[in-house]
Amino acid sequence: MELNELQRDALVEAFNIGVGQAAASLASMVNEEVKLSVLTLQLIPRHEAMQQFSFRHSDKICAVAQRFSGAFDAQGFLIFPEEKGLEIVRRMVGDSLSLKELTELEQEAMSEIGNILLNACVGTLANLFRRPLNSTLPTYHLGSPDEVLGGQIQGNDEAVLLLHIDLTLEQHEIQGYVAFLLSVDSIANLVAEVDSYIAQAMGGR
Amino acid sequence: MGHPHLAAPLLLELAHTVNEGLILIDAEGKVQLWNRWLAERSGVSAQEIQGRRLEEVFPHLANSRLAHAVQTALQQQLPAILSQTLNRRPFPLQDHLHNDAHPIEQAITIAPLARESGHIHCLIQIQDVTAAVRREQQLREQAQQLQALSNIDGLTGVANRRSFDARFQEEFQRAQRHGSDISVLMLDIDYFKEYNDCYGHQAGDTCLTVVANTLRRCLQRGGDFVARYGGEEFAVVLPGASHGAACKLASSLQQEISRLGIPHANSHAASHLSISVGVATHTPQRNDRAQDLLRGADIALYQAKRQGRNRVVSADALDLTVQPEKLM
Repeated sequence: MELNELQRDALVEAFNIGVGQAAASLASMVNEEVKLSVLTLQLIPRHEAMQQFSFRHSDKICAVAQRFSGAFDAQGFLIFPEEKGLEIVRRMVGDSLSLKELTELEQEAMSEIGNILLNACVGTLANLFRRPLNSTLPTYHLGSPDEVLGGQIQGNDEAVLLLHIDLTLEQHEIQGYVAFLLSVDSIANLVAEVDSYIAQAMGGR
Repeated sequence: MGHPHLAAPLLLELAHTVNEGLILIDAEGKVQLWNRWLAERSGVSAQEIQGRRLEEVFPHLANSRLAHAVQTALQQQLPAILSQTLNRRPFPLQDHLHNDAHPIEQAITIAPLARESGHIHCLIQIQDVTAAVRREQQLREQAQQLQALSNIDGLTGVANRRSFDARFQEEFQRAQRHGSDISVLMLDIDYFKEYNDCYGHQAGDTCLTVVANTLRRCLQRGGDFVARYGGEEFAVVLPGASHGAACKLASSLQQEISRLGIPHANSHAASHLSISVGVATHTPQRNDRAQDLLRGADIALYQAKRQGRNRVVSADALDLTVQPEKLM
Protein backbone atom coordinates (compact mmCIF):
# COMPACT_ATOMS: atom_id res chain seq x y z
CA MET A 1 0.00 0.00 0.00
CA GLU A 2 2.96 2.29 0.41
CA LEU A 3 4.15 4.51 -2.39
CA ASN A 4 7.74 4.24 -3.54
CA GLU A 5 9.82 7.35 -4.14
CA LEU A 6 9.21 7.39 -7.88
CA GLN A 7 5.44 7.18 -7.42
CA ARG A 8 5.52 9.87 -4.78
CA ASP A 9 7.58 12.23 -6.93
CA ALA A 10 5.28 11.71 -9.90
CA LEU A 11 2.21 12.52 -7.78
CA VAL A 12 3.80 15.57 -6.14
CA GLU A 13 4.71 16.90 -9.57
CA ALA A 14 1.19 16.33 -10.90
CA PHE A 15 -0.46 17.92 -7.85
CA ASN A 16 1.90 20.89 -7.94
CA ILE A 17 0.67 21.72 -11.45
CA GLY A 18 -2.91 21.54 -10.18
CA VAL A 19 -2.39 23.69 -7.09
CA GLY A 20 -0.38 26.16 -9.15
CA GLN A 21 -3.48 26.76 -11.27
CA ALA A 22 -5.57 27.11 -8.10
CA ALA A 23 -3.12 29.73 -6.81
CA ALA A 24 -3.48 31.68 -10.06
CA SER A 25 -7.29 31.68 -9.74
CA LEU A 26 -7.12 32.80 -6.11
CA ALA A 27 -4.58 35.51 -6.94
CA SER A 28 -6.74 37.00 -9.69
CA MET A 29 -9.73 37.00 -7.34
CA VAL A 30 -7.99 38.95 -4.57
CA ASN A 31 -5.58 40.92 -6.77
CA GLU A 32 -2.64 39.77 -4.77
CA GLU A 33 0.16 37.32 -5.00
CA VAL A 34 -0.92 33.87 -3.84
CA LYS A 35 1.50 30.95 -3.82
CA LEU A 36 0.55 27.33 -3.30
CA SER A 37 2.81 24.33 -3.23
CA VAL A 38 2.78 20.70 -2.16
CA LEU A 39 5.52 20.15 0.43
CA THR A 40 5.12 16.42 1.00
CA LEU A 41 2.81 13.60 -0.04
CA GLN A 42 2.07 10.46 1.92
CA LEU A 43 -0.22 7.47 1.60
CA ILE A 44 -0.88 6.45 5.19
CA PRO A 45 -3.45 4.61 7.30
CA ARG A 46 -6.31 6.69 8.58
CA HIS A 47 -5.24 6.77 12.25
CA GLU A 48 -1.81 8.11 11.33
CA ALA A 49 -3.42 10.88 9.32
CA MET A 50 -5.70 11.75 12.25
CA GLN A 51 -2.63 12.23 14.44
CA GLN A 52 -1.25 14.79 12.01
CA PHE A 53 -4.50 16.76 12.09
CA SER A 54 -4.22 17.27 15.85
CA PHE A 55 -2.33 20.52 15.42
CA ARG A 56 -0.37 21.66 18.42
CA HIS A 57 -1.94 25.06 19.04
CA SER A 58 -5.48 24.34 18.07
CA ASP A 59 -8.01 21.84 19.27
CA LYS A 60 -10.37 22.47 16.42
CA ILE A 61 -9.79 22.11 12.73
CA CYS A 62 -11.55 23.95 9.98
CA ALA A 63 -12.24 21.90 6.87
CA VAL A 64 -13.90 22.12 3.49
CA ALA A 65 -15.15 18.78 2.19
CA GLN A 66 -16.29 17.41 -1.17
CA ARG A 67 -17.29 13.83 -1.96
CA PHE A 68 -15.98 12.50 -5.23
CA SER A 69 -17.23 9.51 -7.23
CA GLY A 70 -16.65 8.00 -10.64
CA ALA A 71 -13.22 6.61 -11.52
CA PHE A 72 -12.84 6.11 -7.78
CA ASP A 73 -14.72 7.09 -4.63
CA ALA A 74 -13.08 9.52 -2.28
CA GLN A 75 -13.74 12.15 0.33
CA GLY A 76 -11.63 15.21 -0.26
CA PHE A 77 -10.77 17.65 2.54
CA LEU A 78 -8.89 20.89 2.80
CA ILE A 79 -7.78 21.14 6.43
CA PHE A 80 -6.33 23.96 8.52
CA PRO A 81 -6.04 24.58 12.26
CA GLU A 82 -9.00 26.78 13.22
CA GLU A 83 -7.04 30.01 13.72
CA LYS A 84 -5.27 29.57 10.38
CA GLY A 85 -8.64 29.23 8.67
CA LEU A 86 -9.66 32.56 10.20
CA GLU A 87 -6.39 34.10 9.05
CA ILE A 88 -6.76 32.87 5.46
CA VAL A 89 -10.29 34.19 5.02
CA ARG A 90 -9.55 37.54 6.63
CA ARG A 91 -6.44 38.04 4.56
CA MET A 92 -8.29 37.06 1.40
CA VAL A 93 -11.36 39.16 2.11
CA GLY A 94 -9.26 42.01 3.51
CA ASP A 95 -11.60 42.74 6.38
CA SER A 96 -10.68 42.72 10.01
CA LEU A 97 -13.72 41.76 11.99
CA SER A 98 -12.06 40.21 15.00
CA LEU A 99 -14.83 37.78 15.87
CA LYS A 100 -13.72 34.41 17.21
CA GLU A 101 -15.54 32.43 14.54
CA LEU A 102 -16.13 32.82 10.85
CA THR A 103 -19.42 34.47 10.02
CA GLU A 104 -21.85 32.83 7.60
CA LEU A 105 -20.47 34.75 4.63
CA GLU A 106 -16.88 34.14 5.68
CA GLN A 107 -17.59 30.39 5.91
CA GLU A 108 -18.83 30.57 2.37
CA ALA A 109 -15.64 32.32 1.28
CA MET A 110 -13.64 29.54 2.97
CA SER A 111 -15.78 26.96 1.16
CA GLU A 112 -14.99 28.63 -2.14
CA ILE A 113 -11.24 28.62 -1.40
CA GLY A 114 -11.51 24.91 -0.53
CA ASN A 115 -13.57 24.28 -3.64
CA ILE A 116 -10.95 25.85 -5.91
CA LEU A 117 -8.14 23.86 -4.27
CA LEU A 118 -9.95 20.52 -4.13
CA ASN A 119 -11.16 20.86 -7.73
CA ALA A 120 -7.59 21.58 -8.82
CA CYS A 121 -6.30 18.49 -7.01
CA VAL A 122 -9.09 16.22 -8.16
CA GLY A 123 -8.72 17.54 -11.71
CA THR A 124 -5.13 16.34 -11.50
CA LEU A 125 -6.31 12.90 -10.42
CA ALA A 126 -8.97 12.83 -13.15
CA ASN A 127 -6.29 13.58 -15.73
CA LEU A 128 -4.23 10.75 -14.31
CA PHE A 129 -7.19 8.36 -14.64
CA ARG A 130 -8.22 9.90 -17.96
CA ARG A 131 -11.79 9.80 -16.65
CA PRO A 132 -13.84 12.60 -15.16
CA LEU A 133 -14.90 12.48 -11.52
CA ASN A 134 -18.20 13.68 -10.16
CA SER A 135 -18.37 15.76 -7.05
CA THR A 136 -20.79 17.18 -4.52
CA LEU A 137 -20.74 20.86 -3.65
CA PRO A 138 -18.27 21.86 -0.93
CA THR A 139 -19.36 21.96 2.70
CA TYR A 140 -17.72 23.79 5.60
CA HIS A 141 -16.90 22.01 8.87
CA LEU A 142 -15.48 23.11 12.20
CA GLY A 143 -14.67 20.78 15.09
CA SER A 144 -12.19 18.29 16.47
CA PRO A 145 -10.48 16.07 13.86
CA ASP A 146 -12.73 13.20 15.01
CA GLU A 147 -15.90 15.25 14.65
CA VAL A 148 -14.98 16.53 11.22
CA LEU A 149 -13.46 13.38 9.73
CA GLY A 150 -14.54 10.58 12.04
CA GLY A 151 -17.99 10.02 10.59
CA GLN A 152 -16.75 10.08 7.04
CA ILE A 153 -14.79 6.86 7.05
CA GLN A 154 -15.94 3.41 7.97
CA GLY A 155 -13.71 0.44 8.59
CA ASN A 156 -9.98 0.25 8.75
CA ASP A 157 -9.48 -0.61 5.13
CA GLU A 158 -9.21 2.97 4.16
CA ALA A 159 -6.15 5.05 3.69
CA VAL A 160 -5.47 8.70 3.33
CA LEU A 161 -3.61 10.33 0.48
CA LEU A 162 -2.22 13.26 2.42
CA LEU A 163 -0.75 16.39 0.85
CA HIS A 164 1.01 18.80 3.15
CA ILE A 165 0.56 22.17 1.46
CA ASP A 166 1.97 25.64 1.88
CA LEU A 167 -0.19 28.65 1.12
CA THR A 168 1.51 32.06 0.95
CA LEU A 169 -0.76 35.10 1.25
CA GLU A 170 0.63 38.63 1.57
CA GLN A 171 4.02 37.06 2.34
CA HIS A 172 2.51 35.05 5.21
CA GLU A 173 3.02 31.31 5.03
CA ILE A 174 0.15 29.15 6.19
CA GLN A 175 0.45 25.39 6.20
CA GLY A 176 -2.38 22.92 5.99
CA TYR A 177 -3.42 19.65 4.40
CA VAL A 178 -5.35 18.34 1.47
CA ALA A 179 -6.53 14.83 2.31
CA PHE A 180 -8.26 12.25 0.16
CA LEU A 181 -9.86 9.37 2.02
CA LEU A 182 -9.73 6.36 -0.27
CA SER A 183 -10.99 2.78 -0.15
CA VAL A 184 -8.63 -0.14 -0.68
CA ASP A 185 -9.92 -0.60 -4.25
CA SER A 186 -9.36 3.03 -5.04
CA ILE A 187 -5.85 2.89 -3.67
CA ALA A 188 -5.00 -0.09 -5.87
CA ASN A 189 -6.46 1.78 -8.85
CA LEU A 190 -4.53 4.90 -8.00
CA VAL A 191 -1.20 3.09 -7.66
CA ALA A 192 -1.78 1.27 -10.97
CA GLU A 193 -2.60 4.53 -12.73
CA VAL A 194 0.45 6.23 -11.27
CA ASP A 195 2.62 3.35 -12.51
CA SER A 196 1.23 3.55 -16.02
CA TYR A 197 1.66 7.32 -15.95
CA ILE A 198 5.30 6.89 -14.94
CA ALA A 199 5.83 4.22 -17.63
CA GLN A 200 4.37 6.58 -20.21
CA ALA A 201 6.48 9.49 -19.04
CA MET A 202 9.63 7.33 -19.13
CA GLY A 203 8.77 5.95 -22.53
CA GLY A 204 8.12 9.41 -23.84
CA ARG A 205 11.63 10.61 -23.05
CA MET B 1 -35.35 10.41 -15.15
CA GLY B 2 -37.17 9.09 -12.10
CA HIS B 3 -40.21 11.31 -12.61
CA PRO B 4 -41.55 10.52 -16.07
CA HIS B 5 -44.94 11.98 -15.18
CA LEU B 6 -43.46 15.45 -14.85
CA ALA B 7 -44.11 17.00 -18.22
CA ALA B 8 -41.66 19.42 -19.78
CA PRO B 9 -44.01 22.45 -19.55
CA LEU B 10 -44.48 21.79 -15.84
CA LEU B 11 -40.72 21.56 -15.29
CA LEU B 12 -40.26 24.80 -17.19
CA GLU B 13 -42.91 26.50 -15.08
CA LEU B 14 -41.07 25.23 -12.00
CA ALA B 15 -37.80 26.74 -13.19
CA HIS B 16 -39.54 30.09 -13.70
CA THR B 17 -41.29 30.02 -10.34
CA VAL B 18 -38.41 29.26 -7.95
CA ASN B 19 -37.27 32.14 -5.80
CA GLU B 20 -33.74 32.32 -7.12
CA GLY B 21 -31.92 32.86 -10.38
CA LEU B 22 -31.51 29.86 -12.68
CA ILE B 23 -29.40 29.74 -15.84
CA LEU B 24 -28.97 26.61 -17.94
CA ILE B 25 -25.90 26.59 -20.20
CA ASP B 26 -25.38 23.98 -22.91
CA ALA B 27 -22.13 22.27 -23.89
CA GLU B 28 -21.32 25.10 -26.33
CA GLY B 29 -21.57 27.62 -23.52
CA LYS B 30 -24.86 29.08 -24.78
CA VAL B 31 -27.75 30.08 -22.54
CA GLN B 32 -30.68 27.65 -22.83
CA LEU B 33 -32.72 28.90 -19.90
CA TRP B 34 -32.86 32.29 -18.16
CA ASN B 35 -35.62 32.19 -15.59
CA ARG B 36 -38.18 34.83 -14.70
CA TRP B 37 -36.48 35.70 -11.37
CA LEU B 38 -33.40 36.79 -13.35
CA ALA B 39 -35.32 38.56 -16.11
CA GLU B 40 -37.13 40.66 -13.49
CA ARG B 41 -33.93 41.66 -11.70
CA SER B 42 -31.48 42.05 -14.59
CA GLY B 43 -33.59 43.91 -17.09
CA VAL B 44 -32.49 41.28 -19.65
CA SER B 45 -35.34 39.17 -21.02
CA ALA B 46 -35.06 35.47 -21.81
CA GLN B 47 -35.54 36.22 -25.53
CA GLU B 48 -32.61 38.63 -25.51
CA ILE B 49 -30.13 36.18 -24.01
CA GLN B 50 -31.32 32.75 -25.16
CA GLY B 51 -28.90 31.03 -27.53
CA ARG B 52 -26.13 33.54 -26.79
CA ARG B 53 -23.04 33.23 -24.62
CA LEU B 54 -23.14 35.03 -21.23
CA GLU B 55 -20.10 37.13 -22.21
CA GLU B 56 -21.93 38.51 -25.25
CA VAL B 57 -24.57 40.07 -23.04
CA PHE B 58 -22.32 40.73 -20.02
CA PRO B 59 -18.86 41.53 -21.48
CA HIS B 60 -17.29 41.90 -18.01
CA LEU B 61 -17.78 38.16 -17.48
CA ALA B 62 -15.20 37.27 -20.15
CA ASN B 63 -12.30 35.43 -18.48
CA SER B 64 -13.94 35.88 -15.09
CA ARG B 65 -13.98 33.37 -12.26
CA LEU B 66 -17.60 32.64 -13.23
CA ALA B 67 -16.64 31.89 -16.84
CA HIS B 68 -13.85 29.57 -15.68
CA ALA B 69 -16.16 27.80 -13.25
CA VAL B 70 -18.72 27.20 -16.04
CA GLN B 71 -15.95 25.80 -18.21
CA THR B 72 -14.78 23.49 -15.41
CA ALA B 73 -18.34 22.23 -14.94
CA LEU B 74 -18.75 21.55 -18.66
CA GLN B 75 -15.33 20.03 -19.29
CA GLN B 76 -14.39 18.34 -16.01
CA GLN B 77 -17.86 17.98 -14.52
CA LEU B 78 -16.73 19.58 -11.26
CA PRO B 79 -19.11 21.91 -9.37
CA ALA B 80 -18.13 25.28 -7.95
CA ILE B 81 -19.40 27.92 -5.58
CA LEU B 82 -18.80 31.64 -5.91
CA SER B 83 -19.05 33.31 -2.53
CA GLN B 84 -20.40 36.82 -2.16
CA THR B 85 -17.31 38.07 -0.33
CA LEU B 86 -14.79 36.90 -2.91
CA ASN B 87 -16.96 37.69 -5.97
CA ARG B 88 -18.76 41.00 -5.74
CA ARG B 89 -21.97 40.90 -7.76
CA PRO B 90 -20.99 38.89 -10.84
CA PHE B 91 -24.38 39.75 -12.40
CA PRO B 92 -25.72 43.32 -12.43
CA LEU B 93 -28.98 42.62 -10.61
CA GLN B 94 -31.29 45.18 -9.01
CA ASP B 95 -34.10 44.65 -6.56
CA HIS B 96 -36.94 46.85 -7.89
CA LEU B 97 -39.59 45.12 -5.83
CA HIS B 98 -38.90 47.17 -2.73
CA ASN B 99 -39.30 50.91 -2.53
CA ASP B 100 -35.56 51.49 -2.34
CA ALA B 101 -34.07 49.86 -5.42
CA HIS B 102 -30.69 48.37 -4.47
CA PRO B 103 -28.09 46.09 -6.07
CA ILE B 104 -28.50 42.42 -5.15
CA GLU B 105 -25.62 40.65 -3.39
CA GLN B 106 -25.17 37.18 -4.83
CA ALA B 107 -24.08 33.71 -3.76
CA ILE B 108 -23.67 31.48 -6.80
CA THR B 109 -23.54 27.71 -7.31
CA ILE B 110 -22.40 26.14 -10.56
CA ALA B 111 -23.04 22.45 -11.19
CA PRO B 112 -22.80 20.05 -14.14
CA LEU B 113 -26.11 18.46 -15.23
CA ALA B 114 -27.53 15.53 -17.20
CA ARG B 115 -24.46 13.43 -17.58
CA GLU B 116 -26.18 10.20 -18.53
CA SER B 117 -27.59 11.56 -21.78
CA GLY B 118 -24.08 12.39 -22.89
CA HIS B 119 -24.96 16.05 -23.35
CA ILE B 120 -23.46 17.95 -20.50
CA HIS B 121 -25.19 21.07 -19.34
CA CYS B 122 -24.29 23.46 -16.61
CA LEU B 123 -26.74 24.92 -14.11
CA ILE B 124 -26.01 28.29 -12.51
CA GLN B 125 -28.02 29.09 -9.40
CA ILE B 126 -28.03 32.62 -8.02
CA GLN B 127 -29.19 33.34 -4.49
CA ASP B 128 -29.98 36.78 -3.09
CA VAL B 129 -27.85 37.17 0.05
CA THR B 130 -28.34 40.94 0.45
CA ALA B 131 -29.98 40.47 3.87
CA ALA B 132 -27.05 38.43 5.17
CA VAL B 133 -24.57 41.01 3.88
CA ARG B 134 -26.45 43.79 5.68
CA ARG B 135 -26.66 41.75 8.86
CA GLU B 136 -22.93 41.14 8.88
CA GLN B 137 -22.24 44.77 8.10
CA GLN B 138 -24.23 45.72 11.19
CA LEU B 139 -22.43 43.11 13.24
CA ARG B 140 -19.12 44.49 12.02
CA GLU B 141 -20.06 48.04 12.94
CA GLN B 142 -21.28 47.01 16.35
CA ALA B 143 -18.12 45.03 17.03
CA GLN B 144 -16.02 48.04 16.06
CA GLN B 145 -18.09 50.36 18.27
CA LEU B 146 -17.79 47.98 21.19
CA GLN B 147 -14.06 47.74 20.74
CA ALA B 148 -13.73 51.52 20.56
CA LEU B 149 -15.92 51.96 23.64
CA SER B 150 -13.96 49.46 25.69
CA ASN B 151 -10.80 51.52 25.07
CA ILE B 152 -12.22 54.91 26.01
CA ASP B 153 -12.57 56.58 29.37
CA GLY B 154 -16.28 57.15 29.77
CA LEU B 155 -16.00 60.58 31.42
CA THR B 156 -13.26 62.35 29.49
CA GLY B 157 -13.36 60.57 26.14
CA VAL B 158 -9.59 60.00 26.04
CA ALA B 159 -7.99 56.53 26.11
CA ASN B 160 -8.57 54.60 29.34
CA ARG B 161 -5.96 52.84 31.47
CA ARG B 162 -6.52 49.51 29.74
CA SER B 163 -5.93 50.96 26.32
CA PHE B 164 -2.95 52.95 27.64
CA ASP B 165 -1.26 49.78 28.91
CA ALA B 166 -1.65 48.06 25.55
CA ARG B 167 -0.67 51.01 23.36
CA PHE B 168 2.24 52.07 25.54
CA GLN B 169 3.61 48.53 25.42
CA GLU B 170 3.21 48.51 21.63
CA GLU B 171 4.99 51.85 21.20
CA PHE B 172 7.77 50.79 23.57
CA GLN B 173 8.37 47.64 21.54
CA ARG B 174 8.32 49.62 18.32
CA ALA B 175 10.97 51.99 19.74
CA GLN B 176 12.95 48.92 20.82
CA ARG B 177 12.88 47.54 17.27
CA HIS B 178 13.76 50.80 15.58
CA GLY B 179 16.24 51.98 18.22
CA SER B 180 14.32 55.27 18.55
CA ASP B 181 13.43 57.49 21.52
CA ILE B 182 10.17 57.25 23.39
CA SER B 183 9.01 59.81 25.97
CA VAL B 184 6.30 59.62 28.62
CA LEU B 185 4.68 62.42 30.61
CA MET B 186 2.82 61.73 33.84
CA LEU B 187 0.50 64.59 34.80
CA ASP B 188 -1.50 65.26 37.92
CA ILE B 189 -4.06 68.00 38.63
CA ASP B 190 -2.79 69.94 41.67
CA TYR B 191 -4.95 69.76 44.81
CA PHE B 192 -7.77 68.06 42.95
CA LYS B 193 -9.28 66.64 46.16
CA GLU B 194 -9.55 70.22 47.49
CA TYR B 195 -11.12 71.29 44.17
CA ASN B 196 -13.80 68.61 44.55
CA ASP B 197 -14.39 69.52 48.19
CA CYS B 198 -14.78 73.19 47.31
CA TYR B 199 -16.75 73.10 44.05
CA GLY B 200 -18.47 69.69 44.19
CA HIS B 201 -17.97 66.47 42.25
CA GLN B 202 -19.87 67.64 39.19
CA ALA B 203 -17.53 70.58 38.78
CA GLY B 204 -14.67 68.14 39.39
CA ASP B 205 -15.88 65.96 36.52
CA THR B 206 -16.15 68.98 34.23
CA CYS B 207 -12.66 70.02 35.23
CA LEU B 208 -11.28 66.54 34.34
CA THR B 209 -12.98 66.71 30.94
CA VAL B 210 -11.67 70.20 30.20
CA VAL B 211 -8.12 69.19 31.16
CA ALA B 212 -8.32 66.01 29.05
CA ASN B 213 -9.57 67.97 26.02
CA THR B 214 -6.86 70.60 26.43
CA LEU B 215 -4.14 67.94 26.61
CA ARG B 216 -5.53 66.19 23.55
CA ARG B 217 -5.73 69.45 21.60
CA CYS B 218 -2.09 70.23 22.35
CA LEU B 219 -0.78 66.96 20.91
CA GLN B 220 0.20 67.64 17.33
CA ARG B 221 1.80 64.48 15.97
CA GLY B 222 -0.17 61.43 14.84
CA GLY B 223 1.41 58.85 17.14
CA ASP B 224 1.12 60.94 20.34
CA PHE B 225 -1.71 60.07 22.67
CA VAL B 226 -3.13 60.98 26.05
CA ALA B 227 -4.82 58.59 28.47
CA ARG B 228 -6.57 58.93 31.81
CA TYR B 229 -4.21 56.95 34.00
CA GLY B 230 -5.99 57.17 37.35
CA GLY B 231 -8.42 59.50 39.17
CA GLU B 232 -6.90 62.91 38.34
CA GLU B 233 -3.76 61.50 36.74
CA PHE B 234 -3.10 61.56 32.99
CA ALA B 235 -0.32 59.98 30.94
CA VAL B 236 0.94 61.17 27.57
CA VAL B 237 3.03 58.95 25.28
CA LEU B 238 5.27 60.63 22.70
CA PRO B 239 6.84 58.04 20.40
CA GLY B 240 10.04 59.26 18.74
CA ALA B 241 10.21 62.45 20.87
CA SER B 242 13.62 63.43 22.29
CA HIS B 243 13.85 64.39 25.94
CA GLY B 244 14.23 68.06 25.02
CA ALA B 245 11.11 68.02 22.83
CA ALA B 246 9.14 66.15 25.53
CA CYS B 247 10.13 68.70 28.21
CA LYS B 248 9.16 71.55 25.91
CA LEU B 249 5.75 69.99 25.26
CA ALA B 250 5.31 69.33 29.01
CA SER B 251 5.94 73.03 29.74
CA SER B 252 3.48 74.12 27.09
CA LEU B 253 0.84 71.73 28.49
CA GLN B 254 1.40 73.16 31.95
CA GLN B 255 1.03 76.71 30.56
CA GLU B 256 -2.08 75.84 28.54
CA ILE B 257 -3.81 74.48 31.64
CA SER B 258 -2.85 77.60 33.61
CA ARG B 259 -4.10 79.78 30.78
CA LEU B 260 -7.58 78.22 31.07
CA GLY B 261 -7.81 80.27 34.26
CA ILE B 262 -10.17 77.86 36.02
CA PRO B 263 -10.54 79.33 39.54
CA HIS B 264 -9.23 77.10 42.36
CA ALA B 265 -9.53 78.95 45.68
CA ASN B 266 -8.17 76.06 47.78
CA SER B 267 -4.99 75.44 45.77
CA HIS B 268 -1.70 76.09 47.53
CA ALA B 269 0.13 76.11 44.21
CA ALA B 270 -1.68 78.89 42.35
CA SER B 271 -4.90 80.92 42.33
CA HIS B 272 -6.23 78.83 39.44
CA LEU B 273 -6.18 75.21 38.34
CA SER B 274 -2.66 73.90 37.63
CA ILE B 275 -0.88 70.64 36.87
CA SER B 276 2.40 68.98 37.80
CA VAL B 277 4.28 67.01 35.17
CA GLY B 278 7.03 64.38 35.28
CA VAL B 279 8.95 63.68 32.06
CA ALA B 280 11.02 60.60 31.18
CA THR B 281 12.65 59.57 27.91
CA HIS B 282 14.42 56.40 26.93
CA THR B 283 15.94 54.70 23.91
CA PRO B 284 14.95 51.16 24.84
CA GLN B 285 17.49 48.38 24.44
CA ARG B 286 16.64 44.73 23.92
CA ASN B 287 15.95 43.73 27.53
CA ASP B 288 14.55 47.02 28.82
CA ARG B 289 11.04 47.13 30.24
CA ALA B 290 8.30 49.63 29.50
CA GLN B 291 7.34 49.80 33.17
CA ASP B 292 10.78 51.21 34.11
CA LEU B 293 10.26 54.17 31.78
CA LEU B 294 6.85 54.75 33.33
CA ARG B 295 8.37 54.54 36.78
CA GLY B 296 10.90 57.19 35.78
CA ALA B 297 8.12 59.58 34.77
CA ASP B 298 6.25 58.75 37.97
CA ILE B 299 9.23 59.54 40.18
CA ALA B 300 9.72 62.84 38.33
CA LEU B 301 6.05 63.65 38.94
CA TYR B 302 6.40 62.99 42.69
CA GLN B 303 9.45 65.22 42.67
CA ALA B 304 7.46 67.99 40.92
CA LYS B 305 4.82 67.73 43.64
CA ARG B 306 7.45 67.80 46.39
CA GLN B 307 9.00 70.92 44.93
CA GLY B 308 5.69 72.79 45.27
CA ARG B 309 3.57 71.57 42.28
CA ASN B 310 2.57 73.59 39.17
CA ARG B 311 5.85 72.66 37.47
CA VAL B 312 7.63 70.25 35.13
CA VAL B 313 10.39 67.95 36.41
CA SER B 314 12.64 65.88 34.16
CA ALA B 315 13.62 62.36 35.22
CA ASP B 316 17.05 63.05 33.71
CA ALA B 317 17.71 65.49 36.53
CA LEU B 318 16.92 62.90 39.21
CA ASP B 319 18.66 59.92 40.70
CA LEU B 320 16.26 57.19 39.66
CA THR B 321 17.67 54.67 42.08
CA VAL B 322 15.69 56.45 44.82
CA GLN B 323 12.49 54.60 45.65
CA PRO B 324 9.32 56.57 44.90
CA GLU B 325 7.97 55.93 48.40
CA LYS B 326 10.77 58.00 49.87
CA LEU B 327 9.93 60.91 47.65
CA MET B 328 6.37 61.18 48.83
